[in-house]
Amino acid sequence: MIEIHEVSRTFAAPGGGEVKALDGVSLRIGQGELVAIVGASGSGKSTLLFTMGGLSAPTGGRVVLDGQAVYDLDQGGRAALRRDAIGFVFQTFNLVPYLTTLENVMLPAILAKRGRREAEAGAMRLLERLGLGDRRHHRPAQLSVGERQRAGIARSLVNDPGVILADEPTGNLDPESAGHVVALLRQLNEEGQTIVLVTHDADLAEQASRVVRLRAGRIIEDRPSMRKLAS
Amino acid sequence: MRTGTWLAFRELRARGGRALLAAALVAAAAALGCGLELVALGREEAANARIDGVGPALRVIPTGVSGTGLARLDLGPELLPAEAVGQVEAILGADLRELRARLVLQRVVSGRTVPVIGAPGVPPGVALLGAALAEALGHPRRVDLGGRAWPVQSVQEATGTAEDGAVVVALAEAQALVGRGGVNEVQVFLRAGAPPRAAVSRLQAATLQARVVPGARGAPADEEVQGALSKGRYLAQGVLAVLIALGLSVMAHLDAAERRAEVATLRAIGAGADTVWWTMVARSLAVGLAGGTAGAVSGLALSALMDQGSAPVSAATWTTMLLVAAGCALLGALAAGPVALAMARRDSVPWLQEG
Repeated sequence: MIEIHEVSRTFAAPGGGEVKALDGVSLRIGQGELVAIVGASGSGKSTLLFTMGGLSAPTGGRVVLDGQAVYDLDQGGRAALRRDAIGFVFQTFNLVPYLTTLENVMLPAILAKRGRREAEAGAMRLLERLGLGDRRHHRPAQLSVGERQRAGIARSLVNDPGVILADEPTGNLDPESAGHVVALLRQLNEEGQTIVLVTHDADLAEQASRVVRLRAGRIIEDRPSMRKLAS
Repeated sequence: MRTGTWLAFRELRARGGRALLAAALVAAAAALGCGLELVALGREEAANARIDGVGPALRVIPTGVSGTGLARLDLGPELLPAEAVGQVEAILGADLRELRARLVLQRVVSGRTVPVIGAPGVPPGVALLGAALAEALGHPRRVDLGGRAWPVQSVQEATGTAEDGAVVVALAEAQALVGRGGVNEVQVFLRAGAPPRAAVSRLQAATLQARVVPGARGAPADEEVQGALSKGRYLAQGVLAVLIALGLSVMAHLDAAERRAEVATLRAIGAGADTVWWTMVARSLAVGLAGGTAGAVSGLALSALMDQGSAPVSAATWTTMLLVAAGCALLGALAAGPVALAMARRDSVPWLQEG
């Protein structure tokens, strides 16, 4: 479970002064939810996601993940938390270009010191499941964009995290690949995986169970999705 | 650390272009530094390696001549066996740079009893005077020796040895003075880098019917090269080390600028700052080590080109090469360390969207 209490985040503005990216945001995300955070560019969506993920310390407020105050931990503790309890999925995939698909997916498990054989077995299971088994020895540049994003999702799952944080997961994909990724995220959620995603895509947002809308760093809407209401 | 090392080597394997270029730069600078050092060390060893006299025990030392005095007794049973010169050559083999077989005796020259040295390479009919003897005789144009007047061709440069008080003539003429062939001293000059103690042991172990007397001073040529190199050597090596560090530092900065998204990704998926730091440092260290090793090997070849009298490989050579390779690796780590630390500590979130 993720609890966000009155979180604020300010940045120094280029011309002097400050920009408030988040302004007293409070949010509670339960186990097994699929939450879409939507809003215009600059509304604070990604900042909120990275703050939830222990990557960007808030200037005020608290973030609690499974009872642990994230920013009470030191840098090493937060790195361990990201490694073990959070899976990140990025718009630009962010696969390590010099590693093969298999090695990219194994990487979080290797960082968690799970042992090479165990990490490889876990990564292979995920790649087979996501239809990338025969692409395991390919480098990211040799994959299609859809395959890269599926590899990114596989990587986020390899340490069996409590929550997946996805930043515009379909933002760089063609409609067909985007459809596959959305279906995959929904399937994972139906299996009990908690997922928080940031998106511009209204259709994708309505595939979630809950939609949170931000404007100027504040939550202006928090409602069940159309799909949820319809079901 | 294991994960960082694994990542560093996977990256070097996958995209080693710039690393290869940096390693080549390191290798070139290291080769120059290593070559220079090996020549200097070789000459240093050579200067200390002269084995001054494989011959009978000294029995007479003229007044004013130091403990390593040259003059021998009147000839008799004290000559070296005829095969001694060939034996010395065979025993020392590739370690031998130069060998001078000489006949040293004691004679009255212009009223003074001094060492007379018959040496190869001296023109017949003339005498070369040691600096001290020339001074004592008032720089004469001729000297009397064996009932003959010998034109003085030149005065030898002072060496600080007993030879300063000697007269040098052609070997055949010295032999004619005593009416016998043969020699009673073999001067041995080892190649740079050849271990002198081992050479002495080998000569002593052989049955030469001779005594091996290690000399107190090296050959003037070795000392000159050694002296010239010792002045600029550390400065040149310092400049080369700075060049290596600069090259590796530039590589680390370029890598860091290009790989911000990768660093941000690593941190996002749970790599600690230490893993990120070590990945970058290990890469630079590996480049430094590879370049340094290649440079050390090339330096050995270069030293042979720079100094023809240079050595078969000695312990000092291996140590120098090892130090060059290790030093380059250390420079690699030091050059990348600060930028890696900055990357590992910096807020990486803005880099995440760079993909």
